[in-house]
Amino acid sequence: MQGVLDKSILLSVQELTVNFRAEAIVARALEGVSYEVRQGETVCLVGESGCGKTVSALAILGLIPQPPGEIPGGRILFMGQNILELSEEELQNLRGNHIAMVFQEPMTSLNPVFTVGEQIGEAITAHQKVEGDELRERCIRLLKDVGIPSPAERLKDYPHQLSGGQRQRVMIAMALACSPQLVIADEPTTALDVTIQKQILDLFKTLKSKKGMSLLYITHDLNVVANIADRVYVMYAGIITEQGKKRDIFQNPCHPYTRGLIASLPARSKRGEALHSIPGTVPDPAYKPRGCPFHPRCTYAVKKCSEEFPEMLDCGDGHLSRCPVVLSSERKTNTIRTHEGPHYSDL
Amino acid sequence: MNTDKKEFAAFPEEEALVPSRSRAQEFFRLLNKNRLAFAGLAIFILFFLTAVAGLVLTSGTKPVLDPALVRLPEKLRPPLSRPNLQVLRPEQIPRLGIYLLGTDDLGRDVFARMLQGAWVSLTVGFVAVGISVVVGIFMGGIAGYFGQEQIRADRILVLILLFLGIGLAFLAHPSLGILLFALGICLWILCGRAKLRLEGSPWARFLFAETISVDTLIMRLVDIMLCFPSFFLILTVVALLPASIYNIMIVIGLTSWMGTTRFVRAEFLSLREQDFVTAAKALGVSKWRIIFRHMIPNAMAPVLVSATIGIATAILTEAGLSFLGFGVPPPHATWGNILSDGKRFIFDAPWLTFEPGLAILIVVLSFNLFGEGLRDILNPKLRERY
Amino acid sequence: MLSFIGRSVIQKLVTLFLVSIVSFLIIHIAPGEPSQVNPLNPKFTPEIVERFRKAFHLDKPLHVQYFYFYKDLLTGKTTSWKDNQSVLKKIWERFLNSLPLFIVGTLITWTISFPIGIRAAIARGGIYDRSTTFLAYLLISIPGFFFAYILIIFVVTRFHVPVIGMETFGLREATTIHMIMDRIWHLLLPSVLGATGGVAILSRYVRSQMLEVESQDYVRTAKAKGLPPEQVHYKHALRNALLPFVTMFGLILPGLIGGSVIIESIFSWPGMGRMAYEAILARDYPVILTVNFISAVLVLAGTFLSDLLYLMVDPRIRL
Repeated sequence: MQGVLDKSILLSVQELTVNFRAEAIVARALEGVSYEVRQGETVCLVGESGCGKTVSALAILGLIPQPPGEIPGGRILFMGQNILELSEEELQNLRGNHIAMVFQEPMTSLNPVFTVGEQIGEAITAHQKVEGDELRERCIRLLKDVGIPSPAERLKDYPHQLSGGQRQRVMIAMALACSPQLVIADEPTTALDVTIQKQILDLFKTLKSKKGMSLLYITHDLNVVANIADRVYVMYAGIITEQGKKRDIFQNPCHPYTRGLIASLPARSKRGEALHSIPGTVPDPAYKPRGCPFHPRCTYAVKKCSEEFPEMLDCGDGHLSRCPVVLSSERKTNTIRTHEGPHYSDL
Repeated sequence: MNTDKKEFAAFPEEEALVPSRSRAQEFFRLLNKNRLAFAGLAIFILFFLTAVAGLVLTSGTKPVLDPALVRLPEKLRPPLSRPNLQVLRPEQIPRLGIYLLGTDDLGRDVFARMLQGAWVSLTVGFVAVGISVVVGIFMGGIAGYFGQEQIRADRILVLILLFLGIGLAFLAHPSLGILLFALGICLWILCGRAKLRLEGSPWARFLFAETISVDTLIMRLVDIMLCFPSFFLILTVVALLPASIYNIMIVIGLTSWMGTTRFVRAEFLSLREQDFVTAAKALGVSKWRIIFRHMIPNAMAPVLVSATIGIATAILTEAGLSFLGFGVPPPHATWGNILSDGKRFIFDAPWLTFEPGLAILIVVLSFNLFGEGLRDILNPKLRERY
Repeated sequence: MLSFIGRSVIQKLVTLFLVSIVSFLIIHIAPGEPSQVNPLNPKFTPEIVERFRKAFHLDKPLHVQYFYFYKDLLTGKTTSWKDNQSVLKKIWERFLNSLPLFIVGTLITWTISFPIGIRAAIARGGIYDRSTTFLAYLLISIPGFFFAYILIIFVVTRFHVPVIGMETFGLREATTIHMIMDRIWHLLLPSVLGATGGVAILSRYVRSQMLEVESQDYVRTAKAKGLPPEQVHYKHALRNALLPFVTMFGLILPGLIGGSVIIESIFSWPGMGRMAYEAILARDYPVILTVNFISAVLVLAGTFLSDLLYLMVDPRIRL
């Protein structure tokens, strides 16, 4: 087993395929997605909305509703164990205890009729036998960890009495309740104000270094990626289009989609210019184009792109990309040119 | 590189990969998926045709199938029995040569009576719901769109005078009533004229004071109507009015508009805040055009659903009234009174109970199923994309 | 909180006042006079009619009549035109008869609907869900009187027990246990019938509420915490789905006086509905108006109660 070979690999998603089926129509949400998260590492999944990021996260927790969802292929190895083969009880033991998740909408992700204390306490008692004052102490400590002032009083509050940023902190506290090895954060800052976003991001960084957990961070925001990631996977229409270390992705993007994303970032060096945008939208997962799914929007596209599904190609040093056109045309001239996009320290 | 780009422009059809369908096609595709709703629609169409056929076949001075023809020797014959030709005069022999659904205690052909009753059920359902939907949309639309506007005291005064005048004129004191009515009209004209001149005087402050909003007024009216137990109210009014099918329709209609009003009001209140209405306003589209072109079509979905289910309820209510003897006056047959007449023979002639009962059940069920199906189809939140 | 209660009470009182006017007008403006109760009856000579009119203030203008009527009603002195009995006493007697029907019917409705609706929602799309859905539509659509006859035929031919009326006539000699069984048999059918519509509607409503809540983000959060399914469904989802039903407790109240006219007349049950029906037939206006007034009071009290209950159970609403 691969996972056993390399002890440092905590989570390894291999060739994961997820479909959503309604009658005869099949929406292929994920098509052979592979990525891995190592111990203590922060991995970012980047892509536009609707490209399958959230689905892959839900699959890790076994939270894909079946039906209409189905997982016809692939493996999700967590500490060498295939999550897809676990029973419902084993999954329960995994969720919150070893893998925890922070959702996008702190407004709706907390149950409005239970107090903050009840909801955090429940996350602990679901996996550990803790009671009474000890439980209370642990809840208070968790709230203090995530930077909520006067945590003892907040325990009795209902979610609607907290601000958006505080709610997200409560969500994070819930996720950390059992000190999981892996925390999945699904766009945790998207619904928040920009100033709060920065705070939450910093919170994630401190917590990660303090608790030594791994973080799988899902976002569409490259600024966030530049801030937090060790390694990056770029997703498009249910496939991984490019992967590599943060430096490689930002300084030497080898896929037109990544280039487009980076070019559409505002940056100091581009002041005064019109912002770049990628034409078109992400295809409907039930009606993906043949060949490379990105080719209708791609400025590099050649005829072959609409015919053949591109393979993952090595650009060196763990940097992989699914665009043969860019690789072949640029390797021929033998200058892997630096993209004129912003240097990531710019961001 | 440049040549590549040109080639890319050669397959723009890739953009249009998602098959496009018209609204009607989409509707029928979804309807097809919901088999119960589809069955409901089919039964409804069948019922409609039956009712129309019933009207044609059983009305007139010499109907093809006479629902009122009494054949005393042939009473309480079970369904599918053949008429006894020896005891019947030639004009008494049923056209079909068979009592398809049997005969009742007076030897009348139940099949003909059921056909006649189908038309009653259909019209009661549609007219009553028509009335309630029109009143409901009107009231709800006003409350939702003009709800924030205040009613001035003088308007209320005028209205009170007018109504009091009409009431008195018809009931107790015709002369006093007409006087009050005239006074009301005068006050209306005067207030309209004098508004500018009276500006600032203490009189004006009293007369043109803003009292309550339109919304409050209408919603209080809904509250008042909801205070009456509905079947009891209908029963009371129907009992007091002369027995007639039109009175029943009107009474059922006028006592069931409150739900529609609430729907439409809520829908209008949320539509008012939508960007496309703001955009229409910004483009200078007139108020009425916004209401009729932009808002009512968007508010129609819940109204359509509640109307379909309302038809089912109205048919049930009419049957209940007929059953209690308050319905359409005899000898006209309705499903309710066939059943009501048949209840005395429940053990000897069960078909007199079961035929109309099953007919009502099936028709009402079809409306309910179709209505619920419509709700699923028209609700974009529940509509699955694939 | 107090200001909410105050405002609400005043609003309800105003509504009640308007209801009293409207119902009074509906009755009195409708064609036909109560003094012509039975013109064919030879006892109704013109003099008697005149005396009758005087005794019940019918010779006075409408607003004076209104005043007299509601004064009598509020002081509890209203009498029936038909038999000169106190209306409130009559209503109370009939109310006691209807009460067992109401209690058994409500219990059946509320105990059956919830398990059915919740189970259908959790197993959405399954055979259980689909069959209960269809059954619910069937029960909503079946005319009550038709269903009553089917049940009567079934019970009478199958179990050979009489079910019409409140008890079997002339059963004095029988043992106590026999009497009790007899009463239960008589009570069972009408209350089951009274509950069918309620069960069908309520279970559908429970199902749709539950489905709505099950798709909420916080249910997903609860699952992601690793809670067992029972806790996810019955603690996190159900608690939220139940909120709207708390308000429905208040709406049971009007059912106390309603009673079903149709069911009570089929089963010859001397309850409220039957009394109202007979009063309508006899144009016994004091009874009709009193029943209407009491039911309006109950409706308003019910909505008031449900508003209060909602305030108590939903932490999001604070005044």
